[in-house]
Amino acid sequence: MSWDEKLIKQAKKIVKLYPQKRSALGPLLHLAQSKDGYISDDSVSVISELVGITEVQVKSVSTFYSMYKQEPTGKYLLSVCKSISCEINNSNSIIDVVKDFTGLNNNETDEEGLFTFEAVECIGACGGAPAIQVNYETVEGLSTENTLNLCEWLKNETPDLVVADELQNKFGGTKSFDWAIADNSGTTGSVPGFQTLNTTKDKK
Amino acid sequence: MKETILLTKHMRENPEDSHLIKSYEKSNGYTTAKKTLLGSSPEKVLEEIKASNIRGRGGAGFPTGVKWGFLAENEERYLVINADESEPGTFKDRILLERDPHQLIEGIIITCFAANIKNAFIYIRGEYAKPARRVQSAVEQAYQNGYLGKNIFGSEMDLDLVVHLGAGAYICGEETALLNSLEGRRGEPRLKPPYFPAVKGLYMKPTLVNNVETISSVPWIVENTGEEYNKLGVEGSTGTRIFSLSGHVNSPGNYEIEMGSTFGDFVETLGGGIRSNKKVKAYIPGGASAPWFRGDQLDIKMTIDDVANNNSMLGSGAVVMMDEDTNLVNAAKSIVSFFAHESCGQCTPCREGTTWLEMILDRVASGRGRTSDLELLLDICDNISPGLSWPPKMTTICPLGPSAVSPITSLMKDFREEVESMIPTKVLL
Amino acid sequence: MSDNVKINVNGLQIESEPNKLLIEACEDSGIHIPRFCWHKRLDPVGMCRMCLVEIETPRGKMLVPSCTTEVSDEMVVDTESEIVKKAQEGVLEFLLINHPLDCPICDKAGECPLQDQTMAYGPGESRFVEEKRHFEKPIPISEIILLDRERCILCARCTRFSDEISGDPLIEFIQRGNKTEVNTFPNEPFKSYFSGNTVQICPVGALTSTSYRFKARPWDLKSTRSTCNGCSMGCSVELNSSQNKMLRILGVDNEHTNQGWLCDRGRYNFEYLNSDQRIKAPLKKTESDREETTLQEVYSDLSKIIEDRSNKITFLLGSNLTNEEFTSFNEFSNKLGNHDNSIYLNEDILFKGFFDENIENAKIEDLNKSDAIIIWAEDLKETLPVLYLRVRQAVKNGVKLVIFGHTNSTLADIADVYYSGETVSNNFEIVKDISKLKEIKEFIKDKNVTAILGKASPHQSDQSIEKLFTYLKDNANLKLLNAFNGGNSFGAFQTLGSVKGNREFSSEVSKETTDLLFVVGADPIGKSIFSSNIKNIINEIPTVVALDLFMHETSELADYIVPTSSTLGEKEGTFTNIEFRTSRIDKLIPSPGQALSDWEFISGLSNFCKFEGMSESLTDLNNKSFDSFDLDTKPTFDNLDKPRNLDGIINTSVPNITTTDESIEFSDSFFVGKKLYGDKVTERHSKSISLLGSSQFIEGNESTFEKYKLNSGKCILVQENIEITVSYKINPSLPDGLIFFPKNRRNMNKLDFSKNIQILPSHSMEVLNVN
Repeated sequence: MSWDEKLIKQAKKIVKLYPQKRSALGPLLHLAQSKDGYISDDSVSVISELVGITEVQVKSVSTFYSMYKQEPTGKYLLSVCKSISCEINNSNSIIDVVKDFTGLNNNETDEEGLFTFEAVECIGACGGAPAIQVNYETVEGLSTENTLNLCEWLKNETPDLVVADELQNKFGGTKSFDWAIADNSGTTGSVPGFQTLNTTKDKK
Repeated sequence: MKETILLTKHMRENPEDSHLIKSYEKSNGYTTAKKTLLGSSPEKVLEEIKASNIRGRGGAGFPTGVKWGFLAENEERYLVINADESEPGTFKDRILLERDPHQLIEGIIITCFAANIKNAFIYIRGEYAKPARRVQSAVEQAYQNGYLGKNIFGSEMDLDLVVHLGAGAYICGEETALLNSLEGRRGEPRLKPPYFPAVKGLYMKPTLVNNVETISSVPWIVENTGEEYNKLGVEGSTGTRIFSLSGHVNSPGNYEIEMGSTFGDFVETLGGGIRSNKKVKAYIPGGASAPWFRGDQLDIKMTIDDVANNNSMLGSGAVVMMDEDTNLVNAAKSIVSFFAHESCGQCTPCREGTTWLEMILDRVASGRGRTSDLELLLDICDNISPGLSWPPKMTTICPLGPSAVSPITSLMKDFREEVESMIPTKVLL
Repeated sequence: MSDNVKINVNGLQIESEPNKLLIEACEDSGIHIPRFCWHKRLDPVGMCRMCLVEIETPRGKMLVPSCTTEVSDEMVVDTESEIVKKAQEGVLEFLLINHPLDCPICDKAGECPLQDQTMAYGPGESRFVEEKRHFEKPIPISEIILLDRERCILCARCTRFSDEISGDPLIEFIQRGNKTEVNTFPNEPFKSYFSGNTVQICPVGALTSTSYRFKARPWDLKSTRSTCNGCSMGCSVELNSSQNKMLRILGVDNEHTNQGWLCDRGRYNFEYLNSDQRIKAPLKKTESDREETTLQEVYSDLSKIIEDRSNKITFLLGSNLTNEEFTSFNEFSNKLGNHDNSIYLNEDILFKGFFDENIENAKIEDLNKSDAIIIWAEDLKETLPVLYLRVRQAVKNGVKLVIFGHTNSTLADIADVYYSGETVSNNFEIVKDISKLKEIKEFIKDKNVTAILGKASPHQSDQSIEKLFTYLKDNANLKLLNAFNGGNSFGAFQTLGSVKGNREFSSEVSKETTDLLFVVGADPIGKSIFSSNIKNIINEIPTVVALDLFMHETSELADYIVPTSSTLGEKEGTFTNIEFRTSRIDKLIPSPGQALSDWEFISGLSNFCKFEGMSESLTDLNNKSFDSFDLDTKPTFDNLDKPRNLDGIINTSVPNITTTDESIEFSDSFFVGKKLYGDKVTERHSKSISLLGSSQFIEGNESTFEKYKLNSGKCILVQENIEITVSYKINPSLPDGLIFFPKNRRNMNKLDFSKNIQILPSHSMEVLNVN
């Protein structure tokens, strides 16, 4: 197995959360995504042993869900929403800004491994349309100008930790609702920052 | 009109820390659960829920008390909270998860008490990272305080709660697809019959699947009685409901209101009217799956039945306003491509039909439409949803395919001229 | 019948068993509902939506899939309404928009459900002007299967088969929605013993076999129904040929036996029939070589030996002969005054079995009706693959499964109890008091139990297995399948007066007892564990006659070689399976050259010897084979050809297997058995599968191999002056210290299993040399 001991230990902890091993498949795929930035064939083999199903069964599940990436992603996964509320609030222009800045088409990653761009379906930020997620951290109420600022800031600052509240304060506008107290936790990498996955960290 | 604040009370009163257990406890949080576990009975809780006449807030609007009543007897039963909120236009569960996770957990404790369940899951869509973090922290706090785990509040009751993260699949909001997903499978809807969750749900065991907002309402109902809840709203649509308002309005957002006022009133007062005082061309009354209403239909009342009687649905409570300048073909295309992207691929008509519709709309929108495309669009729709009636008939297992039909039939019925105007009349040779 | 429900379909009243699926109930009454994904032997998924029908409900007429809707009393169904027709036409149009128009070069064309249904129910023209979905054209997903994803209509038949039926889900849906495709995992081919079934049930030309690809058009095929003689399961098959060449074998849905499925060896092991290596004329050994001769000369030479009544004549018969041929040899042997103690069957594991009037022979279908199944035998998956599927099916239906080690470990995953090392010793003795094994007791005590019993390894003692049998007999309502797996071995049991095996041959036969030996369709030197003994015997017997299809290690030692027809497709006759079910073997293609049926040879020889009273025709032999059976159930050709008997007729009988009781002395450190694929001469000459049985290996658990200090992936087996380099495979379910040798793999016959075998690590240099 090519996962290190620490990751295997964490994986086994996740498996124990569920009455049946196979239920852990989803979280373990997130774990694989956090390890490599995509679901490598190698991780598929490791997971297939951990949950006791064949590799192609793991692959079948991992390719069903859009958040499990089958190709390596950049440090920042830029997901611009294009569903109805964003669409009628000019998400197209946001998409254009991101495309222009990164030089990427949909589902492409740049050579430096900095950005991956994707136009995605509804991310539940309709009240704050148009919206984007950077590594699943939401920024609402974007303008084309602030979108460009956001991209530049990411490129120049290359923060390891991406925090929704910080991005929103810097680059966001109208929100879907009052976010109230600012949160300082966020994520690194193209995977949701979530305690069970050990992918969430606090910004100091 | 104004809001009626039940579910959003604690978060409004404690904006600085409503997600923390201390704050929730200060607002008398968990006292209802404690009282219930120590002094009430499952039957009594069920009675209150039935008396409240609350209907599921996920979209289908099924009476919650009846759903609980269907749960089959078994040693092993499960509760799964559907927090896979993904219907375009909808962001009301997000606020409940992010701002008041303990209210949901308290609802879960009471629900599991009423249904004799020892294992519960919250299935949160993967893109809701921040809400999931907040809920996970809340769950950990609740365990620390003895509200989850063994002998809750010193009672006989044990309950384990796991927060499970989805991974980007709208279809998992369909309850049987959600169960497949939670079992580590492809999120494909199961056949009903025979797989009704209340009988053969998670791991083929009886399972309750309820929406976040529904279960978040449980503590209030149990504390204040179902009778009180039933007094709010109107018959058939009791209680309050959080509507997500978006689109071309001045004040988009979540609004907790009693059902019964008109969409026009809602948009004008709470939504602050349409931006730049423009007119409404069309609006979606209940999420992307719902057929549209025209701008001259703003006097329809916001109740499950009124909307249904006008051949649409209140669905997930997502209202999207589209002003007079909106390109409705693009709007429809956006919705159709959403469903094409989210089709699980099991049923032929949905898998092939939604993509085909998307391709045709794409042609029409970019000025490459053919006159015959209008009839073709409708006929493809008819092959997915025969008769194009409401509620839709289906040639598919689940309603996802027919949902893609809604915007097209709306477009063709009320805005046909707009579509026709995009089709070049002369072909240059 | 009173429990039946009445439903109204298209205005007609039909009756059906309750809980039946609507599509099946209609089918039973002659009303065909089109479908792609539904398959009688697979769980319904309701995905293709082709079988939609309208039923009346309290809320009005509803479209429902008839493959997932159960009938209920007074249900009113319309399968032909305008709405239904429109929906079906719609589904077909949807399926066709991305289906390539490559029917002219598609193997399936002409027998393609998609093509046929488009004709019957489809729209006349396509309204799809966009570009179709594209995938790389056929990709190999195993040595024998190709996948064309453009043609696939995503019915999930192949994925369900491999998951539900064969239990090796190596083929799956990848991606979702409109991007969904069927595929395997990179570097993890569709390596299943049952993969050919997915080709057969694929409703389009998405899955094709390398052996049949581009070979023929369905309308050019000649076909006949027959019985597979690859093992004692007796699966019903349809043989297909074109221009006198066998091109394809399909499984026939025989409810009692294979239910439509076949193992891949049964399906694909036929290309040898067309091999140019077949022996086409009789051969006679000369001083230095061998030369072609005539049948007349062979008859003449042999009759001289036979006429000398002091000469003793012995037969070693392969178990692939037809019942009629066994009868023919029996008759001939009796004529020689040999009675029946001179006939041996080419089987290594033969013992007296569990047959007598007090033991109820199980039928295969009893597996499904039992409370529990007990298995102790050679590996079913390797030796009786379709019986293995039937066991899996029974377990899926809730039957309990108890397995005794160490051979059936592939069933361990689904077994309720698997008795391994602590209970079963390395020489296959139950080392605990059976009556104190509480798990088994719980499952069998006064329950209906079907046992599948046979020797797990040649060195297992008779007493060892008898002990289990006695316990089961005393405690349960027992039915039993004797797990002899050699082709038509049950036919041999029924038709030969008494039967002995290779073990007896190697201890009883010598030049003192035999002057003339017939070796018929058998290669004991190549494949028996008694190989070296038998080789010595054959070498010393003055005259040896081989009747065979090919030259092989045994036939090449013969003084006379007579080319014979293959039981597969070149002969008529009957076959008797493990449950004593007799069914037809049919002829479809001519034999090459001068090859003739074994019975024809014996008949010719008898004539030459002027024997009287011998059966003169195949029909005579057929009648004679079943002399003692009731007229009604006698599996004569006439009887078997009646429509109600196409699936075969059961006549249980008590065979007379006269084996010696002595155990074979084996070391405790190993056992031998067969793998499904080996390097038998027919397999070597069937191109598609010839490589599947080519690898040489041994199996053991990790700690066993650690003890031998193996670490390079290869090891050397050493015995006297023999050295064989093989790979070793980890099989975690084997007990410590026990190693498995697949005897039907190349070179394994060189080892003498009664003597010690050394296992030495192979150094990397030597590995390089081997490759």
